[in-house]
Amino acid sequence: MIGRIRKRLRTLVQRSRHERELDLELRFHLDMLTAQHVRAGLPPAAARRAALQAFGPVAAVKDDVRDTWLVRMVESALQDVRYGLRTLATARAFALGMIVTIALAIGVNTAIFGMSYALLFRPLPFESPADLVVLQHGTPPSSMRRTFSPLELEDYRRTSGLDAIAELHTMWFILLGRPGDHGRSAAPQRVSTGVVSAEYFTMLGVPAAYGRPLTAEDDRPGAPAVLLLTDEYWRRAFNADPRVVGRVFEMNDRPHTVVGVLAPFPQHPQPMDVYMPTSACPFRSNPAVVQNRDARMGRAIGRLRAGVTLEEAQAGLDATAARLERDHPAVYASNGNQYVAAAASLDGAMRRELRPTLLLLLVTAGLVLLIGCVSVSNLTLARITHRAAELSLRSALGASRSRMVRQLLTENIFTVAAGTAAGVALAQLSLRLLTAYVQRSTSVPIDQGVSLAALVCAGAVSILLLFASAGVPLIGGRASLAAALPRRPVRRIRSGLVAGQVALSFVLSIAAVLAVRSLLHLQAIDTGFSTTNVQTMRVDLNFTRYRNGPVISAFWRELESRLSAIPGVLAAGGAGTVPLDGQQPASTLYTLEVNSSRPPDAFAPRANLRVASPGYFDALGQRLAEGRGFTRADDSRDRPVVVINQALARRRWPAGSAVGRQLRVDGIAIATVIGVVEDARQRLEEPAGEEIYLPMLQSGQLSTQWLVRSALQPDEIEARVRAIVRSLDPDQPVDNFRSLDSFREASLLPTRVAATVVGLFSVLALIITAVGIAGVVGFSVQQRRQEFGIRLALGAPRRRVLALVLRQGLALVAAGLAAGVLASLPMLPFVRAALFGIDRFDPAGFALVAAALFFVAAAACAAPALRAMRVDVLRELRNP
Amino acid sequence: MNRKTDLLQGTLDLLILRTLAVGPMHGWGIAQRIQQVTGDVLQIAQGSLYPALHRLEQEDWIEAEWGTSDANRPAKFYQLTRAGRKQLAAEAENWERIAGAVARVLSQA
Repeated sequence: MIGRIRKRLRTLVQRSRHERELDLELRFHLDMLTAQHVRAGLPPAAARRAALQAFGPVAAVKDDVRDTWLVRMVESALQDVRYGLRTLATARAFALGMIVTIALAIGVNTAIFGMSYALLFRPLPFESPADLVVLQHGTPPSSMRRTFSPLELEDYRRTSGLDAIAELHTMWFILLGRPGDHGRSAAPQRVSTGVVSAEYFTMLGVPAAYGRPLTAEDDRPGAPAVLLLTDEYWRRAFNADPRVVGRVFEMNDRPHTVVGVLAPFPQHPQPMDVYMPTSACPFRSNPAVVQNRDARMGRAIGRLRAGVTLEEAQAGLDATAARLERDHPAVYASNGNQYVAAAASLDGAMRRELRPTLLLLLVTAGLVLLIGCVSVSNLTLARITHRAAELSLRSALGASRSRMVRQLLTENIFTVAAGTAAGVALAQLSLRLLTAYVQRSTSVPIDQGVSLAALVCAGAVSILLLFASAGVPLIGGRASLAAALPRRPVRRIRSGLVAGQVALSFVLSIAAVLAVRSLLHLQAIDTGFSTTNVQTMRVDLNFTRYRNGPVISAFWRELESRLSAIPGVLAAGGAGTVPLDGQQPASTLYTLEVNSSRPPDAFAPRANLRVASPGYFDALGQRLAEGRGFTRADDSRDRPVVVINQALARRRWPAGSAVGRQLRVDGIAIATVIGVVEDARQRLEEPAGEEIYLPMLQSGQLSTQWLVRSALQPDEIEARVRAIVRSLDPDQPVDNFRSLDSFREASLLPTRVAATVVGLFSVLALIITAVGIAGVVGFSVQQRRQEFGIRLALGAPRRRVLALVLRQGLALVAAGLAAGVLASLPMLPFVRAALFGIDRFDPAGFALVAAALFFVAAAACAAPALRAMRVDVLRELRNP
Repeated sequence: MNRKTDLLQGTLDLLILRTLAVGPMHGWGIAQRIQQVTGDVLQIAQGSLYPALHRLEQEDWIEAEWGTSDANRPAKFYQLTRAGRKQLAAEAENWERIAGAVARVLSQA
C-alpha cells in the first residue's frame, strides 16, 4: 500500500524525471547490446545497427512503457473516486450537509442571477440597442414630458447627432370582423394599439415574421389603413394562423388590412396587440392635431448617429431646444424657466422599474452564497480535523500533502457535483415560478428556465464552492495536514468562520424582517373600501358610434340599471378607473370659488379627477361621509355637481361642511359639491390624494370600468354581463373580467415575492449557521473532554463546565452579531429602495433579529454544552 | 505490448518473474538470461521487455532501484516483491496445468 501510493505519486508528480530514467535505462541496454556485438567482432557502426535491430524500434517501446503509466494514472483516479465515495458513505451527515448547503447556494444564485442577467444586463434584442434613446422635453424640474406634438417631432428630427426619431402613442380601438369576411371573429375585440411612424420598426430592427413591415407609403396622409399584429396577439386571437395576413377588419369605421405579423420583441412602454401607422389613427391624423404645436401625444424614440455619444447628441438637442424657444416664445417661454430637451437610453428606461427589487435579491442571494462558502469550508475543516488520525497516518506513510489535498478535493468534487445538480434542478423549478411573476411587470424577455448565463453562474459558483471547501482548509488548516496537527489554530479559524456566518445571517435576517414588516404593513392597510365579492370589467365605447354626451349617457344609464337588476347583485356602478389597477388617474387643476371660507391659494392646486356613475360608491363600498352621492338625475351639464373626498374637504374647508360649496374644475363650469366620500386609496402604497368625482352621466366618458358587487360566481356574473352588453350593442366588446381582490393581490405581489424570497434565504442562512455553531462548539467539547473531566474531578461544579462551553459559543455569536450590525448598515439603502414603508433605521427590527439569532445560537450551543456537563469523570481520567 | 514477439503477454511476464526469482537484475541482464536459458527457441525483441517490466512494476509484483552495473554504469535493478513471488507461484502452476493439458491432448491425438 505504502509503496503503491509512493509509486503512483512519483508517476503523477514527477513525470519528467520518469522520462529521463526511462531514457537512461534503455540507453544502458542498447550500449550493452552494442558492446556485445563489438566483442563479437563487428565494427562499432554495424554493431550499433545490429543492436538496434535486436532491440526493436526505440520510440515504439517508449510509447508502450508510457501506456503502462497512463493506465495506472487512470486507475489511480478511479481509485480516488472509489475511495472518496466509500469515505463519503461512512460520513453521511457530512455529505448531506455539504450537498444541501451547496444545492441551496447554487439554486438560489442560479435562479436569481439567471433572471437578473436577462433583466439587467443582457442587451435588448434590438439593432444596436445602445444607440437607442428616449427623448423628453419641457421646463425642468417640474414639467418634463415624454410626449411631443407632430410639429415638434419634425423639428427634433433635424437635430444633429440623431439619425432618426420614431413616434409612438398608444390607443384602445375596437376591432370588428367584416361581414362576409371568412372566419369573422366571433366577438368584437378591444385591442391596445400602438400608433407609430413608418420608421419605428426598421429603427428598432424588428422584422415582420409574416407579411411585410410598415413602409413610408403606409404612413402617407390618406393612405389605406393597415395593421401589424404583435406575435402575442396573433397567437392569442388568431391561433398563430399566418393566413390572417391580408384579412380586412373594420376599425374606427374604416377597413384596415393586416399586412404583417411582427416577430416577438420587448415592447415599450407596454405590450400592444396591434400596431398601425400614424396616418391610420383618427386622432393623430386629424389636421387640427398635425398643425397644433401643443398637441403632444407621441413618444419619441431616437437613434444616435453611428459613433455619436449620448453627450454629443445632447448638445444637438440643446441647440434644437434653444432654436424652438427662440422661434416660438409663446409656446415654450415659461416664466423664466429654460425650455430643454434631453435624451436618455431606451435600455435604461425599459429596465428601470425592476432594478431595485432585483438588486435586493442579488445582494441577498450573494449573502446566501457567502454563508454557503463559509459553511463548506467549515464542514471540510471539521472533517479534516475529525480525520486527523487517518491523515497523519497517511502522511507518515509517505503520502505527500498535494496527494492528500487531491484526495480531499476528489471527495468534495462528489458533494459539489451532487449539490450543483440539485441546485440547478432547484433553480429550474424556482425560475419557472419567479419568471411567471416577474414577466408580468416587464416587457424585457426572460428565459423560462435555466439559461446559458444561469448555467455559467452555476458553474462559477460550484467552482468557487469547491475551492472554498478545499482551499480555505488548505490555507487555514495547513497544520492539520501535517502529522503534528496542532489544534488551536484550526479551532481559531473555525471560530472566525462561525462568527462570520453569524454576521452574514444577521444581515440577511434584517433584510427579511424588513421585507416581512413591509408586507404586513401593506396587507394591513385599510383602503377605504371592501374588495371582496366584487367583479370588475372594462367597457370602452367605440367613439365612432357614440359621438355625443346624450348617446353615451344613455348607454351607461341603461347598462347600470340592467346590471343592478341581475338577481343576486347588491350594487353595480362604473368609473373611469378602478382603485388599485395601477393606472394613473387624470389630474386636473381646480380653484375654489370666492365664496368659500378661505381665499383661493396663490397657485392652483391639483386634484385627481375621476368619474363615477350613480351606483359606483355602493358597488365599491366607499362610504359617504356627508351629503349625497350621484343619482340618475345628475345627468345634465346645466347643473354641474361633484363629489369630493375627505382629504380634499379637510384641506380646503377645514372648518364646517364642504357640501353646498362650489369649486371650478379646469375646463368645466363651476360645480356644486353635493357630497363628501371617505378616502379610498388608489394605490396601496399611497394614502388617497385629494379627489374630485364627476358624474359619469355628465362627463361623456367613453372608457370605463364597471364593478358588480355580488356573491354570485364570477363565471355567472361574466356570462350575465356579456349577455347584457350584447343585447345593448352587439358590436360592443366587454373584457378584462377580474375580481377587485385580484387587483389588491397584484399590488402586494412584488413585496410578497421579496418578503418570501428574502425570508426563505434568511431561514436557510439561519439553519446553516446554527449547524455551524453546533459543529464548532461540539468539536471543541470533543477536544476538551479530558480537561472537563479533570475540572470536574477537582471539584468544579457541573454548571461551571456548562457555563464555560456556553460562554465560548456565545462569545462567537456576540462577535458575529456586532460585525453583522455594522455590515447591515450599508445594505439598508437597497432594502429601502425595494420595499414599502421602510423609511429609516429600525431599532426594533435590529433588536428582534439580534435576539432571535442569539436564541438560536444558544440553542445550537446547548446540545454540546450539555454533553460537556455530563462528561464521565472516571472514564476520561482512565482513558487519556 | 506484443509488438514483434510471438510470446503471449502472460508468458513473457512469467519468464521475467521466474528470471528475477534468482535475484535482483537489470533489464539487460534479464534479456541475456532469458536468451541463454531458452536458446533460440523463444525469439523476443529485447525492447518489448521494458513495457512488461514497467507494467509489472505498476502491478507491484516487482520493484526497481537504481544501482551500479558490472560495467560500473548506473542501471535500474528490478527485484521480486512479496506479491511478485506469490504471483510467480500462481502463474507457474497455471502454466504447468495448461502445458500438461495441452500435452495430454497432443499425445492422445
